[in-house]
Amino acid sequence: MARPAGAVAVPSRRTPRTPGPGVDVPTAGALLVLAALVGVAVLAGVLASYAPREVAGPPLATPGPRLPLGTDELGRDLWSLWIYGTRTSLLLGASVGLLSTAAAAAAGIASAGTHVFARIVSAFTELVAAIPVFLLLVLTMALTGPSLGALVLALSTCGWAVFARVVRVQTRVELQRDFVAASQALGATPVWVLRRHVLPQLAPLLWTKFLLTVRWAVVVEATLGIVGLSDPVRPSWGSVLGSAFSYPLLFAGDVWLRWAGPPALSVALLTWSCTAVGELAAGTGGRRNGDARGSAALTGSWGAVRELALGPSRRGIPEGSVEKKSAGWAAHGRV
Amino acid sequence: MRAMWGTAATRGLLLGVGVLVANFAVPRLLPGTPLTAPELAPLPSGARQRIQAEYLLDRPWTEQFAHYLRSLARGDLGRSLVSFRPVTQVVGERVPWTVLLVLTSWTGAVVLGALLGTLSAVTERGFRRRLWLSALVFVGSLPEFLVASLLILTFSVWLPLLPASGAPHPPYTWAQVARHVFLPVVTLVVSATPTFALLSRDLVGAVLREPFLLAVRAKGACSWGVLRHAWRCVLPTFLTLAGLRLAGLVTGAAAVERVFGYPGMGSLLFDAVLQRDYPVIQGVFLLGSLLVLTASTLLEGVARWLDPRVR
Repeated sequence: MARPAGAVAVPSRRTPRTPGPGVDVPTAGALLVLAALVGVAVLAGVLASYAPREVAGPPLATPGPRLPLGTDELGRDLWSLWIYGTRTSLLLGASVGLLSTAAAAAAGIASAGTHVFARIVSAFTELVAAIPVFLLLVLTMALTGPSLGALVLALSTCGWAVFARVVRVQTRVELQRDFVAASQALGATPVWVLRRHVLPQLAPLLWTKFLLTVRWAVVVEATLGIVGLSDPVRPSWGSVLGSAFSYPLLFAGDVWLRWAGPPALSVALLTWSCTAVGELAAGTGGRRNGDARGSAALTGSWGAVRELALGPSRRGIPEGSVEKKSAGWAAHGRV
Repeated sequence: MRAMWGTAATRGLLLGVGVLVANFAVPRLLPGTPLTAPELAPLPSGARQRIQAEYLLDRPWTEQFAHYLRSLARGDLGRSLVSFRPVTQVVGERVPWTVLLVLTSWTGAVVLGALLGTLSAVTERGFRRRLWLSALVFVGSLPEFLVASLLILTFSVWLPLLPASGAPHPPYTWAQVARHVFLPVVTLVVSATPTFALLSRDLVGAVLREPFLLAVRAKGACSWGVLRHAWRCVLPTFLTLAGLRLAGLVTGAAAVERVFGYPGMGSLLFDAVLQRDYPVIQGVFLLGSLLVLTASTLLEGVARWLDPRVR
């Protein structure tokens, strides 16, 4: 749409979905942090001075001119390890996020109609919600060997089910709207309805799910690393943390600051920024008053889990009170 | 009431069966077997045949499954590949430590979370409430191992008050146990409380807007009375959800135990993974999952029993 020169800027015809605040200072900070971490991951080859598994100096060297953070107990450069670890952990988070969000969306939408499939999905969801997924992951990883690909597959397999239920509920809500009925009356095919009416409404939900899954995957990877299960070939935040916590004198000097510090801080920053940015994404969807901000972030799973636990009868809690807030926040806060 | 117990129990049973089947199926379905794991030195042929004979690995899976169920019924989970002691014994001696850790911190986090959540539900909207919420969200999103490291740094390194790791030696007194359990429990409480606080805040906040509470207020109830009414309504939901969160706490406990060198199932899991001691890993998975399932099913039953409309 070319606009004639000198014309007054016409306000966008697209009505904003919420009149609420846009990007505030903390959210902008979170976006910056995310961007910086992604930048480190992309430019890993440029920023790191050594290859990930290269011996760069004597074991446990103190920082020097070519070793900004010193070395670990095998003489590897901690700075390069952190940089390559960032690449691995973010790659893992993003792949798990993409795979399990896609699976959740597909399963949720598919089960919105048919009955048997819906029941299977919810049965699986209950299983995943109630057993300690982490123990299952440890068992799986111990058997297959902790390669990055196996971890991505295992995490994605566990990560979609709880959320599929939320997608199903939301899809049903959207399908009952008047404009969908109108569209169907005008002869719209199911695919058209899905693309034009359902998916755009689900988009904020899916974005939030993606970010929360990234956060979850990175934290689980780090925890698995601490338990001793991380890909031996590719350094990740988890593997660096694992080797750091295996060193018995970690807290005796200031080694912890250079060794466990960078990956631990990165995990914390990433979880925080995913939460904050995810909140922004969710805010474009449901109701958002200043007060509800963030509370749903951690109660995330409750909207879905509550429904599981309590069934459709809602047991005395007013309809929609928690669901509305948490709808966008569905799926695991943590395993 | 019996019906309500029934549904909770049925679900618990179904999930328990699911765990049993997963414990059988996962190692057999995944590519690669413990017998061919590349990290292991090649087993002497006698050992390989003994293991194959013990699990009937050359027979059809139906027979294997029947054998698996029979051994389970006898309480036989196999033997550790490292210490050659029965798995039930190896895992069993760690169970009390983890149960102590998880139950203490779960209870602490539930009580603290309920208090904080109620407090924030009745606080007036404004800057202070928002600050509270942001702080809760931030603390709650920190991974457990990070909280653990910060606590070690504060209370064991800078202020040498508490042991950073380990457990007391066998003839222990309660005071010694408490000293060693304290920091791990605090870690789990710190990282689990925000979830419970936000949950109870949402639930209580929603109930407080109900007309029947307006009526309670109009009758002149004090604010304690109002909260008592609100909590009676919220408690079943809250307990059920808090019970489901036990699974998450066990994950956290695994990392925390590892950081503190605490002698629970998490540390055992670490050692077993390092030595590829598959029967022990499976034993931890089975016992851990069944314990969590039992606890959350019991809690759900209690929650349903507490619901005045059902009773």
